[in-house]
Formats: sequence, C-alpha cells, structure tokens
Amino acid sequence: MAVLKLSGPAPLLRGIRPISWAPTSIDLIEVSWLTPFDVVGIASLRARLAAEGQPPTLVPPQTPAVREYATAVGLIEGAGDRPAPRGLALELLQLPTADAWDDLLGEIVPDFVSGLPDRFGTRGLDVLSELIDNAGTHGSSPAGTFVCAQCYDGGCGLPAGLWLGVADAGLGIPGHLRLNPRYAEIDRDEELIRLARRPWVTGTRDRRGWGLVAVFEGAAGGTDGDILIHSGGGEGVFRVRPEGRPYARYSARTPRLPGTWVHVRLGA
Amino acid sequence: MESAAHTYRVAERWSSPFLATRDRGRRVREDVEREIGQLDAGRTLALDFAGVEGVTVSFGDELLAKLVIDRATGQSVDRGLVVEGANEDVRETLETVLLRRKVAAVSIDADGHPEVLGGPGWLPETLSAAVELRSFSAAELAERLSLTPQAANNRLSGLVATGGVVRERIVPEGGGKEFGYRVAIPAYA
Repeated sequence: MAVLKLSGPAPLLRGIRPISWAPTSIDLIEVSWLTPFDVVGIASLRARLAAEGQPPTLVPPQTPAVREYATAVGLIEGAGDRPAPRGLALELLQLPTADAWDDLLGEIVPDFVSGLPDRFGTRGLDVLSELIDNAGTHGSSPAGTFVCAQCYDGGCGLPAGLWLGVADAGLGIPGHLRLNPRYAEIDRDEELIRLARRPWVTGTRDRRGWGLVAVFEGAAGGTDGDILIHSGGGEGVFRVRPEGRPYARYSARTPRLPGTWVHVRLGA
Repeated sequence: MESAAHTYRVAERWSSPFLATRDRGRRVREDVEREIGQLDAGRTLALDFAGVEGVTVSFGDELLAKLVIDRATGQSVDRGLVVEGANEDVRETLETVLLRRKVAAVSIDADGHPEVLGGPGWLPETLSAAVELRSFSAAELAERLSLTPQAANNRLSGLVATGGVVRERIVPEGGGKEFGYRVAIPAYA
C-alpha cells in the first residue's frame, strides 16, 4: 500500500519526491500549511486516480486551522457552512474544460478583482486564464483543471503577494510539445519546459504559443514574482522581475508527474 | 438612413467583463466574421469593448489579430473594421497581439479620435492623411504625403488591411479598372 505522506508547510511546493504518484492514500496529518499549489496538486492527483478507478483515501490535517482551511477551500469535505479564510481569492475549482472558465468569469470577476489590492488589477486573472487555457487546450486532462488563489500579506512568514495554483493531470508540457515534429526528438523534459517559455513554441500546427510568455509577463508586471512549473519529468523554477531576464533553474524530476502543476506568485 | 457602422458589443454578447481563452476568442471571431459577412459593402463593423475590463493575450490574438488577418485576405475587405470602447488594459493587450503578428487595427479613443494599434511607424501618418482626404485615390494620397505612387500603394495596402479604410472599385470616365479609397471610421466616413 503506497501512502503519500505530506508534512510541514507547503509540502508539494517545497518539492517532495514521492516513490509514486499513484498512492492509495494521501496523508495530510502532519501538514502545517497549504498553499494554492498544494491544494490544486492534491485535488488533481486525487481526481486523476479516481478517474482511473482507484481513488485514494485522503487523511485530513491534524492541526485544526489547517483542517479548517482545507475544508473552506473545498479540498476536504466538512459539515456546515464554510467560512472563507482571510485572503482567499478563489476557492478550489474543478474546471472540466477551459470554456467552463470563460463561462464562470462573468460571476467571478467582480468579487475577484474587488477582493484584491488594486495593485494586482486583472493580472491575476490574466495569469490564471492563460494557465487554464493551456491546461484545457493542450493538457487533455480527463479530470479537468484545478485552480485556487490566495492572497498573503506576508504576516504568515510566506512572501507577500497573490499566490495562484493551477494543476491538471493531462499530457503535460513535454508530452504536448513532442506532438510537434520539431521537438519530438528532445528526450529531456526539463529542456522542453525551457523551450515552452519561448514565443511561438507549441505542439499544435496552429501558429501560437504565447500563453506561457504572457504568464511570465503577468508575474513580472509591477514587482517581483515566482513561478514553478512541474510537468512530466521536468521542473522549472523562476524568479521574475519587472526589468531584466528571470532567474531560471531547470531540473529533472522523478517519478514523472502525470500532467502539469504550476505555482505563480505575483509580488505585492 | 442606415448607419454606416454596425456595433458588436463584446461584453453584452458574451456576458462577461473579462474574456480569457483562445477558444472563446475563436468563437467571438467567428461570430464577428458572420456579422461582417452580412454587412453591405462599404459599411463598417465597430468592435465595441465597452464594459470589458480585460482580455488575455491568447483571447486577443485569436479574436483581433486573426480577424484582421482573415479580413485582409478574405471576402470582406470592402467592409470596414474598427475597435472602440477599449480601456487602457484592453488596448495595451490588443496592441501587443497585433504587433506580434505584424498587423495593425484602428481604434477609436475615448475622445473619438482614431489611432493605430500595432503596425509599422508610417501607418499613423498615413491614417491621418486618409482621414483628412476621406475619399481619395492612390495618386491623391501620394501627393498629400509626397510619396511615389508605388510607395503610396504599398502604404494603402497596409492601411486597407487595418480595416480603417476600404478599397472600392470605380469606373473612370475613360473606362478601365481603377480603385478608390474611403475612410471607414464612422465619425469620418
């Protein structure tokens, strides 16, 4: 029986290396902080395994505050009303298609924008939308795309800003780019994540490939920001800033993650 | 009398102040193309972004950049196309996607003045000259801008591609084939 045991603050964002991404149980007992990336990663993992007929059990966090947060964002079920945690910009959403996001935006936009400090404007929506579009159109995720957003003011010890998490369990960026004969022979997933940041790079025949470019521009608009892209067997970690090139580090990751998980922090 | 412009209100049609995905952009473009196709030659479709708080790069590329490209190479080149009601964020995103595709469009600013989004540096000057002339021949534009006929024709190709000017076939007195140009921006048409 494979248990994915998560512990401490932001366990997935810190880069846990599990034995397998097909656990029979996801143990959150010792988790002390959940970021949007953790929330969407866990939800996506669970939904993918459920779609494959092997839903893992989810053991809730022991700490009451973390358990309440997990309940409030919709990661675990709980009785009664779910009071919105302070700074929660977008509770966990499961989007069956990218089009579903467009349909929801009419309802979401007023609260999302007015609930955030003015400095973020619609940048958070720009970034989320491009990531959801990529996941929905290239990811082919049977479990859909998961999104969550949280604003931190820095008081919790985490860098202040708008934290966004988007996860799907689809083809992944490397798998998508390999559909294009130009990139089919590149065997290192982290190299394909590096390429995906370039304009016009896409796995489709259509001339496109600006989505990830726009994500980086959105994250760097105004102040500094962070991006983490974990897809297939590769990972890219980025520190972006309004001027100059981003700091970037690429690495191989095992075991291969089915799909793509992305963390973005828009700096405050 | 029928108005020279037909307004397509994006926010109303799609019930959203923010337009996000490439697929939604494609659907809006196809809807706009259908409406342009139903207009009589010489009329203009005003793509109105009033009430839209933001659009993504992917949406803007799929809607406006591809719309401009398809219009310039398709059947509706004798019908005008302008953008209006775009706030600063939307305008900036639309300009970005047009520049990346190396195409341009005409936008009506808050004061009702036409401005060029995207395109080469000579386009604003050429649009200004066209707006002053309103209805003109290539030779008249060449004279106004002190250009050779060839240079004027090249600029006119770019200007017609924006949708802000339409090209019309005219029959000169002596017979033969000739084209005239007319500003398709509603307030200046």
